[in-house]
Amino acid sequence: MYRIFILFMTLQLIVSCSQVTLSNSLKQKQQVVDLEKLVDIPVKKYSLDNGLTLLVVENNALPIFSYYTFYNVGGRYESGTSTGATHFLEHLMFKGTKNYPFGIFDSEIEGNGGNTNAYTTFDQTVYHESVPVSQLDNIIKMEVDRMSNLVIKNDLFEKERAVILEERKMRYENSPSGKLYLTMMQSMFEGTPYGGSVIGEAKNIKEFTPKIIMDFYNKFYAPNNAVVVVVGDVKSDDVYESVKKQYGILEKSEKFQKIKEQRDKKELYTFRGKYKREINQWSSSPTPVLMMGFKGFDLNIREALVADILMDMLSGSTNSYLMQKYVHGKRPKMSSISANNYNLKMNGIFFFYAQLLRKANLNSVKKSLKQEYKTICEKGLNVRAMLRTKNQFLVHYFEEIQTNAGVAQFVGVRESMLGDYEHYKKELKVYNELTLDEVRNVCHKIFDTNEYILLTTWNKNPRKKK
Amino acid sequence: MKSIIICSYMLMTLVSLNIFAAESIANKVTKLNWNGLDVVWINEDRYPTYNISVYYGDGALSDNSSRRGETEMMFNFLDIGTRRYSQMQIADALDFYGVTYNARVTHEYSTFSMKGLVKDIVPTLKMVCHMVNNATYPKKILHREKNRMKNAFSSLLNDKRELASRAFRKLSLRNTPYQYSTDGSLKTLRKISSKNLILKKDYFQKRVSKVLYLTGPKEVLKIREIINKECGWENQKNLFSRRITYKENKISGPMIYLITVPKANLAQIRMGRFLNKSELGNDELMTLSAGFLGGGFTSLLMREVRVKRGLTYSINAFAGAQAEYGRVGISSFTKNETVTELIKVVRDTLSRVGRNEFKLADFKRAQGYLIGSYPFRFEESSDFLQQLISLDHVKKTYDNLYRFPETVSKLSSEDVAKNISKLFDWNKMTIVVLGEKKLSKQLRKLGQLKIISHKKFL
Repeated sequence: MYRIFILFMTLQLIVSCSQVTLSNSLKQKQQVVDLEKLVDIPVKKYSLDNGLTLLVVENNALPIFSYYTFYNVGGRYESGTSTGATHFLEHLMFKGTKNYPFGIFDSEIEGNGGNTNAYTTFDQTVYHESVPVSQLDNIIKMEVDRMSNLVIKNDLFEKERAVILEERKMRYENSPSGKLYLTMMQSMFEGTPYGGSVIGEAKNIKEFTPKIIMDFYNKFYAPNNAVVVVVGDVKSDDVYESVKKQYGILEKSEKFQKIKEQRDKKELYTFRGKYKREINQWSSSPTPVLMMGFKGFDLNIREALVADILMDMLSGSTNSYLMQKYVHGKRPKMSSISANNYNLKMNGIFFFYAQLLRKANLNSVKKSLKQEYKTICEKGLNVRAMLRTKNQFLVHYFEEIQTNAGVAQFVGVRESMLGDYEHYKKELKVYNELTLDEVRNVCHKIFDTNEYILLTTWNKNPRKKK
Repeated sequence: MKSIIICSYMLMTLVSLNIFAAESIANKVTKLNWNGLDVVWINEDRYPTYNISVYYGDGALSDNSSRRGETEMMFNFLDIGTRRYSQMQIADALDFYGVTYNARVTHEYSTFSMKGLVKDIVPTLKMVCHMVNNATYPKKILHREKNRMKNAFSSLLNDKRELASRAFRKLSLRNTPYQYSTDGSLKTLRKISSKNLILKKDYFQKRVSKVLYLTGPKEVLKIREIINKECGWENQKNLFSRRITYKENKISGPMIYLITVPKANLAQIRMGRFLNKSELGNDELMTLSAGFLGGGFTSLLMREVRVKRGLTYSINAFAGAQAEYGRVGISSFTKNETVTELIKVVRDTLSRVGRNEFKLADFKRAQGYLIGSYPFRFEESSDFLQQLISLDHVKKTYDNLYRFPETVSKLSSEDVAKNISKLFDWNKMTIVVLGEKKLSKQLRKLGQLKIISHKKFL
């Protein structure tokens, strides 16, 4: 069982610097925890000769486990005419392999009380199962087969194409916010490998053939392009032995190396879109929805972590600056607003997402936001907000690792994206030593460039693109 | 035949494994009595965190008919001001502790829940006690928060799934005491004043029975005195718990409703019905019936609608009950061109199940899923706690939970087929399609159609 080391003895008492006067009884109780010493997940890491990385965390609380496979391939490896290929392939990975024909994989898992699913991002494709512990060997065998023996049948391919088009309609075409978000991502990352669409353009989805998808699979699905994480009622060394036996027969692949060398060049991801502009979309939304994107940071750098704190300081509480000014203040203009920090592996964005009140004037809000970001780093940040955010982050960390699946996701993302499953310790260290000055500096880095894209959608916008 | 024998063997193994799991789970639960207040504590020491849920024996059924949504608003706005603290000060204190809190109001009962770090449980609870005793719902702040709510109602068009479910609830539960949504409507919202909310709060605080549920390490039990003295929750014995009787609802159908929205190339579809108290069977049978029909990737409906025909991305079925009533439903969506096809596939699937025309292996798989997935119900202590609340509400013992795998293993495919025919009786169904008006042409071919604007459900 993994243990969270609770070191209450090391609690740091930090004096409140709030500008709000509270009763003494409340003030005295406010403590901030030494974040970095609180979480310690005992992970065992193994590497196979064929390049597969395995992480195991033992937790014998219940007779179950979660199994995550992170493939280091996502939407950014697609070309302009093949957007959505990674996601299409993710769907087809449930449609049968050589040794487990269609219907067996999910039947085996669900029939034993487990569940399975997958997701695709610009950087990764992740498959996961949570099942009773008796199924460990079975899951390993099935995942090995999915890594090496995918079978794509034409009839199933066509059915799944239809399903993906339905999914696209649900997530984007019929969701004003979903559509606006997609437009924001494509505009902010225009001309870079992040400027496509993970689910794919409808046109591309309609034109894919089984061969295109199979070529993609053959290129990227290999042990040296994957990280497997097992968390639950297992013995680490037993898992390693089984994984070595089953995955060990697969060969390392060189096929994706060249593409990766080309696609992983940092300069490809440099922002090159048109900024300081507006995009106004028509949708059926009866109230305006607004997004305002700024250039952000990739996952690898300290600024990305600081920007996490920044976003919560600005909007993560009823009392935060943006919430007070636009939602809970004397003259509210919005029903909600949030600051968001989205860090991808090679680049990132920072954006505001707001829903306006019916009677608010959109033009006046736009004008206000265009002024807001110029002064927000001074007006919107204070020490108390920073301390509050640190506490909220700690609760959030514990929430993330409540389940086996949560732990697998937690360490797996860090290992596959950053090459370090213990990266969370660095994160906690950064959060712990963070000062208001550093948050302000990062804030200025985001907003002082003066480069943004402001997007709106509602039923009063003109139907044609402005 | 071989696969069925293997399935049966697997089921037996899963059941015995999970009986073992159930015993260790049961050992974590302790019932206490704090000066007349029942307390249920789940001992959970993996993390320095706690969950607290206060159960109140009344819910939205207590709302005046012109002020629907009052109970939910009373709980949700506890933090907008008290005699001593402003909204900002309350938020400043609670947010500082990283606490999250929320209310869940059903028709029959309500819960107010919070979670945070054990180190902050005392000051957090002191503030919550202060709120439940002294919330004043200041007029200006209430006005502002109501405006936000009105906006959320108006913007429901942006969330068509939610809008469809809301319309479905109202239409499938028509002519029952449960037909209105617990959060009220644009119309009733306007009529709720600060005074109404204070009276409602006092009613829940002084007259409605309460039970305290908590999870966390032993340290959390130190809140006893705060609960008894500062919150004032003790001696609950003679307080009120709602139980109602109503005239049996006899809906004949299928009734088809088209809820019109502008510009949509996808239609949301809901099908289901209200269950009278006399129709509520055992929970395990209901759960297995819904799971067999529409739970997971291998369910009958998922195979028929998504896998075989590619008509949708997802489809699921549910069956659930509170103490006095139940609901069953099927939820999906599809492009405009295939709405009637999807409905027909569901109808035909239900009909085939009724005739026992399905593979026994499919049934065994659904049964295996429920039994095997049992331990997952206890992975998160907050989920575990919610299950105990539900059992206490319907006055069932925790043994029902602990014996769940065993009970499910004894259900036969015939039991389930019969139950599905009864629960999902096509002739009693309400079918709600939320989409463009032009869908009316194809929907009329399915039967009697009523067209209603989405605005009626805001």
